[in-house]
Amino acid sequence: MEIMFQDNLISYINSKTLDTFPRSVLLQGLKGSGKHLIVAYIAKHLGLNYSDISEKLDLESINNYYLQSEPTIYLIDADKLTIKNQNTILKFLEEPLKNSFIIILTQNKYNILETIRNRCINLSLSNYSKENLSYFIDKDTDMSILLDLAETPGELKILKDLDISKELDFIDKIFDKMSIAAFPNALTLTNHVGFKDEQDLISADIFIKIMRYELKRRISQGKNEFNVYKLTNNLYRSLFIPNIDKRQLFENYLSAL
Amino acid sequence: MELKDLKLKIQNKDLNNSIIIFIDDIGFISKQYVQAISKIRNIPIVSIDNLSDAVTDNSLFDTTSDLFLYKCDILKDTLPKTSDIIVICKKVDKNISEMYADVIVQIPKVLDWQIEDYCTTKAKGVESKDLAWLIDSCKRDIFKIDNELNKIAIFDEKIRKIEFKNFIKDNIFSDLSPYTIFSLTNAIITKNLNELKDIYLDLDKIDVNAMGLLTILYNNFKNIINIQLGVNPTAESLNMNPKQFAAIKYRIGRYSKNDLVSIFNLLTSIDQRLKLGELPADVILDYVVMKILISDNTVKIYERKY
Repeated sequence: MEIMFQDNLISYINSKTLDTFPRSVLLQGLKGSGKHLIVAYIAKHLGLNYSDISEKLDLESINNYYLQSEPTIYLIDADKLTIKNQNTILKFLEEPLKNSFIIILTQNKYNILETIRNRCINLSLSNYSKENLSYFIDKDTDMSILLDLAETPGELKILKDLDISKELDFIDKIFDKMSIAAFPNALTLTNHVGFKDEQDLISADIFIKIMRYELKRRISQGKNEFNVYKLTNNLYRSLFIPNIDKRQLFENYLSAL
Repeated sequence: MELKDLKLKIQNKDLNNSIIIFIDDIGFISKQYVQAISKIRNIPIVSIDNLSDAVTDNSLFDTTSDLFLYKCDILKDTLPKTSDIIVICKKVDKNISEMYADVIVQIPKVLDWQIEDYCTTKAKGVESKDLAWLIDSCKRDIFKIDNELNKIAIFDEKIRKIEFKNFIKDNIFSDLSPYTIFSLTNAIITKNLNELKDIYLDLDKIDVNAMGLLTILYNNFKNIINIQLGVNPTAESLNMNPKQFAAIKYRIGRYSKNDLVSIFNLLTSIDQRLKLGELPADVILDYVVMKILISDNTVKIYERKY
């Protein structure tokens, strides 16, 4: 398995053995940056299996993990957790498992309780440059927009499968007609976007990213939409608030427009 | 049949043929009579949803029968030929009222002194001022009063006075409120300040969760926006119940576009503000209510009344 452009992290992992690898790790990286790939790499390097326990953090399940004899890597996706769940993990970290490891994944380690951060070795995936990302797409693809939008290989893959020009046209229409559209009609825009990883809809994160990109382009062409850009930027940043209701966030944005 | 005649028959145990039709708006008094009849005839009460379910089992080995109880708003159908059926309804259709004239009993409205009398009888030992408080808290709803009195009636008469006071202290009567979370949201949406004032006085007795309230308000205001700001909206196009659609269109009052957008903006911002720690959870209810009420029109009403 080859992991590209994460040399520092891979060197660190390779320098560790089953005896010296940290029992608790907090691994930070943006969505689509390859966190799960790194976990799979660690598991292979240490000769262990790994198990995602993000949805099995009740007390009974945690007690069972202590009873497991086979060494395992337990994986927790912390971005899906409430504060109550995070406190449950804390108990898990305070009494470490004898022969197993815990890896906590997050997009932003500052969304995780400080008490959890302090009990883990903090590792991060490096950011990908445009040059790095261009490695992941065919040379004959029109790369410029994709490389402007994507920050990670995972995001690049999603964008490649989208009809970007169709989304850009749609977004242009939104901004052209927003000032005259009836408010109920404006709210129906939420039907176009998926807020909970729905399969047949464009994800909210990607859609809002494309909106931001298109707004920058419109402003560069002389349109006076700075306030709209500011609102859209705030909207994009708010997507990273843990457990935020993305649909309401988007509706709030539409009502502010 | 007069009520006093029925009462006499029950007291004299002279009630073999139990086809009785009670016309009773509330149903409380007729329920007492049904229980009394069941007791003196020693047969169980069976509630039925349809008259066709009133079937008497006349098998050779089982000679017991049931007392069928059927409740409806308007009695339109003839009763099945069974000897033991009691109907509680609000009205009897004129096509059959003559047929059953002999067995129709009109229950009079429950008067205030009768409620007080009932409470004094059922909860002997409790101070009259405490009973008066209970009657008032239950808004003279005899069913609610009876339900609360059942809690104290299990105690011996000698200790009921103290136990009743302990109940109040321990909040046993805490669910005594005619209001629900929906009363609160309706009062907010219609900007009914008088109703809101009464509900706020009772707020600790209502099961109101701030996030639950927000969800209801969010859904309601979304509907109001779709109807009042939409272009030619209909119940079908909005996939709404026609009664709900009509209530929002005609009975809520008119919001300005600015008001609606601003309220919707408020309601959709709360989640983010909570998660960023900008708004403490314990003030959400009051904060949202005040922000929604504050508009030019509402301020004028408030100034006029107070």
